Amino acid sequence: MSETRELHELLDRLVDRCEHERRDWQDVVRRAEAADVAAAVPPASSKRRRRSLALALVALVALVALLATPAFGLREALLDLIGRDDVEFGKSPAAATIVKRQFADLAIGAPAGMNPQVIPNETRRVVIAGNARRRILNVAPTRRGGYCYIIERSHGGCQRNDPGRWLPPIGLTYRAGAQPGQPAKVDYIGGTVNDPRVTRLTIEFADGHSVDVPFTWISAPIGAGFFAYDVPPDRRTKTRGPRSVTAWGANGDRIARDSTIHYPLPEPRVVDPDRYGPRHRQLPAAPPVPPADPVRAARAHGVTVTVGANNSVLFDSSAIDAERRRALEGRSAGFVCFRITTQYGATYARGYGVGGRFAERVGHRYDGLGKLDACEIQGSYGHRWPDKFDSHSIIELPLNDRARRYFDDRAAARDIALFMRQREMQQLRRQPPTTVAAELARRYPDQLAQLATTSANPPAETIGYHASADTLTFVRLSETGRRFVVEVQDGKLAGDNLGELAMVF
Amino acid sequence: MSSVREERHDPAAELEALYVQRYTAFLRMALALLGDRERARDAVQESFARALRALPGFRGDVPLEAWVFTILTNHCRDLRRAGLQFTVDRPAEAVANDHPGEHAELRAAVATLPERQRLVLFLRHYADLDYESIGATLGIERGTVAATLHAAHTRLRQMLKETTR
Repeated sequence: MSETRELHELLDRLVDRCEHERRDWQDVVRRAEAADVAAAVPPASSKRRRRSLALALVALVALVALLATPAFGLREALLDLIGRDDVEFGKSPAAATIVKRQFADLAIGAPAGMNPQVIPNETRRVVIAGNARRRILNVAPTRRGGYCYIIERSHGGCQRNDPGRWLPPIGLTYRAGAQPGQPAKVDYIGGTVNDPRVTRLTIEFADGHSVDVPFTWISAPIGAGFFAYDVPPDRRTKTRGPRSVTAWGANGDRIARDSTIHYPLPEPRVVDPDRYGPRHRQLPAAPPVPPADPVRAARAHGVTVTVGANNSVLFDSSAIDAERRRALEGRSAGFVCFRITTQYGATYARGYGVGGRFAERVGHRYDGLGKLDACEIQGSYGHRWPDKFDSHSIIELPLNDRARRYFDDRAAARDIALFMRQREMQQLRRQPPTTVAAELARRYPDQLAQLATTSANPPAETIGYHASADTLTFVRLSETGRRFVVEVQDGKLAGDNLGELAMVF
Repeated sequence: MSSVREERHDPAAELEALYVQRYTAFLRMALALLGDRERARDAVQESFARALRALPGFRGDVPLEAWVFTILTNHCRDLRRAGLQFTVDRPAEAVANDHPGEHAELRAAVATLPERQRLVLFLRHYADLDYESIGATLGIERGTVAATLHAAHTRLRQMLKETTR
């Protein structure tokens, strides 16, 4: 044996080959998101400094107040300073890309006058105080002077702030619900403060009790405060629950009160799906305005879509082929249009659909999407592997080559995802890999191909599989050449690269 | 043709694919640098999380894989620095491996290599990177990689000969 080879083998033995390690991409994503949260929290030292400064100011203001105006009590002064936290928007960290994308998507489907015109790239992340826990506020300015915001796992909204427009001093949101046979409850109150004079917020309860609610004021260009309050469990019903929110000024003057918290709630309406389901909804036969020039068109399986420059779209299925008509007629269908976009770290289809009973002519205007790349009609039949339309949507109407490739890639990703998701595979994959391989060869001799190595490619339109001592690797090639991989280790899904095209679980 | 272009347009998916396909190489590299399996696993997860966060700023000047290996080696170096400050009962030589009781001579020899030689050696043997990628990871020329690796091999062989005499 040569010296070099001997050295290689020694080095190889020095560090374990790590062949039995489980991958966990979701953990990576969680860590990335958590890091964003951590970045939004000011370092402990600055927090301490701010608290020290606040306490010093409290002492000073209290002393001055007590000496100057006896009516201006210490309690109010303390609450003024503790209740409002001022944060500079420009110094707050940028929001996570996925949040920016959510903000960008606010424009989807919004008619011109309703588009909030948010500036997603300027979304910032701020930790706001609550009575029970801290929350993450994501907030972005809009092009017309207002803002859009999401308080994570709580609520969100957009506020216009055009010059001369009257703004309510408090924007109130609350969550109410009722279980059958139980009293209605309000368990969460949140909202915005739009008057910069507000230094203190209180919630008043039905029994006369009141509490101070901390809120965070974000500087320009937002110029608004945000609060989130978890109602304690013993104060959620009408007799003891919250009834109003009041905003106070620095001098203890009441600036505004919002008393629109209502009990009881209407009983939930039970919808009979046999009468009101999507297949009973009649979709319009034409878009609200005709497709404007230049008009583009695509045709597949006897269906034509006409797309105007104004995103007015007309689907004409009068000549649809018999097989697809059978799959759609009398059922609900989704008429979808989208743009393929790469932003915020991902390539994805940005669009939406309208659902209702399949009809030969359906029109809709797809607002807020920009220039469309494709449209499709989605059926409401169950998707099982092998899919009767090769994991394509029932009608796919690409308007350009990029969309054509997207449909091909998505079909391949869906194919391998559907295969992995079927119940028999979920059970089978828990067996030792070699057992699984033998069983796959027996069950699907013509539909699957055994691969010699994990890097080998299966024939077109076929799922390939490879079994090692502890890992099962499944591979599917798209017609574009893109390679989709799903790995199983110890019976569990260890990773995949299907991205947003399909979900394997 | 189009698939390559598509994947370049989708860096998050490309990063995820890199994670799935090359996880073992990253873990092995981390294990070589940290000597502790738990810390190595954590370092890989953390490094990919950092990469995911920094992805919008990734300009593509170097291959994605080399970029993530750079993040990993930097992170492991930080961890080692922090760990060595507080771990007095664990000699520096021992952190370069997963089995402190085995191959003591080779371990000791690897531990005495200059840092660049050790990194090049690990990236070649444990991460299975070619010279170009090692150069991109460490920010050095391809020729420097070859020379550094050669020097590391020579030094290791020499030290092993001396210890087995």
